[in-house]
Order: sequence, then structure tokens, then C-alpha cells
Amino acid sequence: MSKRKSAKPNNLKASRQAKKTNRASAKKASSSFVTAKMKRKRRLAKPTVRSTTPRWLIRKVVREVMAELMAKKSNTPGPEENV
Amino acid sequence: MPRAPADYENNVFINCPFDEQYVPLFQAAVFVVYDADFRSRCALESSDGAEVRVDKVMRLIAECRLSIHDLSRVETDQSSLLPRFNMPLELGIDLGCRRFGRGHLRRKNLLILDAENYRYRKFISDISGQDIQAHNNAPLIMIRVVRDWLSHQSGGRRIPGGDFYANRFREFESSLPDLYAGLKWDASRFNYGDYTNLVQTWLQEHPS
Repeated sequence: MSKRKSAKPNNLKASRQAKKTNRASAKKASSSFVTAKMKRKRRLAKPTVRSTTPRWLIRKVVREVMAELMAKKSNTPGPEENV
Repeated sequence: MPRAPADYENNVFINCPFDEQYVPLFQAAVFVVYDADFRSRCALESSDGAEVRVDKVMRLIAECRLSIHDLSRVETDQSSLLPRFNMPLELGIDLGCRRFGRGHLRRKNLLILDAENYRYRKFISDISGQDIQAHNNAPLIMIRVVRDWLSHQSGGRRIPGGDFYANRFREFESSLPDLYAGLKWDASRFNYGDYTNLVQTWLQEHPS
């Protein structure tokens, strides 16, 4: 019992340290394997300027307008008309 | 030596007029900058009343490796009959920054634009030795000119041709009225922050 008690904090410390180093090495590895496409995606996701409208709303409207345009182009009923 | 700020390599400072007639050209320039995977920066991006305007411009110039300076609106004002010198002043600050700055500031690269070829010789002949491009007040020419310049700044990254970006901009532009209506934005008033966020989101949804 006494053995367990004394060993536990050390194990915890060690596991925490291992987790930290794992995370750090994973981060390092992932950053070196980032493709140009992923970099572009990240850059676009990061707003340069604050907007009065939240990003999620802009995305929602962009998707809706896109869907409408696609529906118009293909002459098929849009998502609203299907409902 | 001061360290280059984050995104310095990809930041593009746009020094241009902000009048209504210029908005389509400005929109085209911002669009192609983002589509070519760079970031546009402009004096309109923050509205801190406490920051002196020229300080803001100098801060932006120091944070951007690339700059676009449009001198097409150095014309006499109808009411005051005086020319507008903000754009040439900012170009001068940028040229000075590149010439007298240290480290990363020496790597700055500028694109100087005017409405017509060789018109600048009549009002700012000192820059005659530089390569100045004309956009003829046409957004699609603006896209081609900016794209050609950015292709030399991409560090080996392949950048599609001007027609590719022009077609994408046309597609984006055609959907702008619907997007503005959907977001309940005032289409008659250009807001730089809203517009850049819209461009970024549209490009995310329309990967090239």
C-alpha cells in the first residue's frame, strides 16, 4: 500500500511529462508535413479584419447562394423547393 | 535587428483611393490577393480613433513585405482644385522604408499602378526609373496586373494565370448582390472588413 502511494505521484508526473513531449513532437511532426493546400485553408480561415457579421453566418449565406446558383444552372429544383 | 512580424512575407499593403468609383477596382485587387494566397492589409482595417492616421499607415507598411500603390486618383478635386497627395506620400514612405530600413524591410517589393501608361511622368517624374503598370480603370486588367506581380513574389509556388482569377472574380462578383442581400448588408456602402471576410469565406467554399 505504502509502495503504491509513493509510486503514484511519480507515475503521474512521468505520464504527464510523456504526454507533453508526445504532444510537442506530434505538433512538430504535423507542422513539417503541412501541405500548401492545408496552409491556404488555414490562412483563409483566419480573418484578417474583424467583421460585423460572424463567420458562420457568412458561410451559411455563401453556401445558400451557391446552392441556389447551382440549382439555377442545372435547372433542377433548389433545396427550398424540395422541402 | 527587429524581427519580421507574423505573415510579413504574405502581407500585401494596398494604398489606394477609397472613393465610390474606385470600389470595383479595389474589390478586384483584394480578391486576387486572397485567391493567390496572400493577405491584403489596408488603412481601412481598423478604426482606432486614438491612432494617428500616418502612424497607422507606417505600421502597416512595416508589417507588409508587399505593397500596391495606386496613383490613379492624383487628380485635382472639383471643389478645392487641389490634387490629392495621400497615395504618393504613402508610396514615398514605403520607398524610404525599403531604402533605409534594415533586415526584412530591405526585402520589400512594390507594385506601382496608374490609370494610364506614362501618365505619372507628368506629376511624379522621379519614379520614372521604376516599372509602373496601368490598369485602365478596368477591374479585370487590375486582376491580371496584380496576379503577374504576385507570381514573382510567390517564392516558387505556382500561381494560375490572370484569366483564371478573372473568371473566378466574375463568378464571385455575379453572386455579390445575392450575398449582400442574404447578409442584409448595404450594397451601396463598401465595408472593407465585411468584404474581406466574405472573400475569404467564398474562397474557402470555392477552392481552386
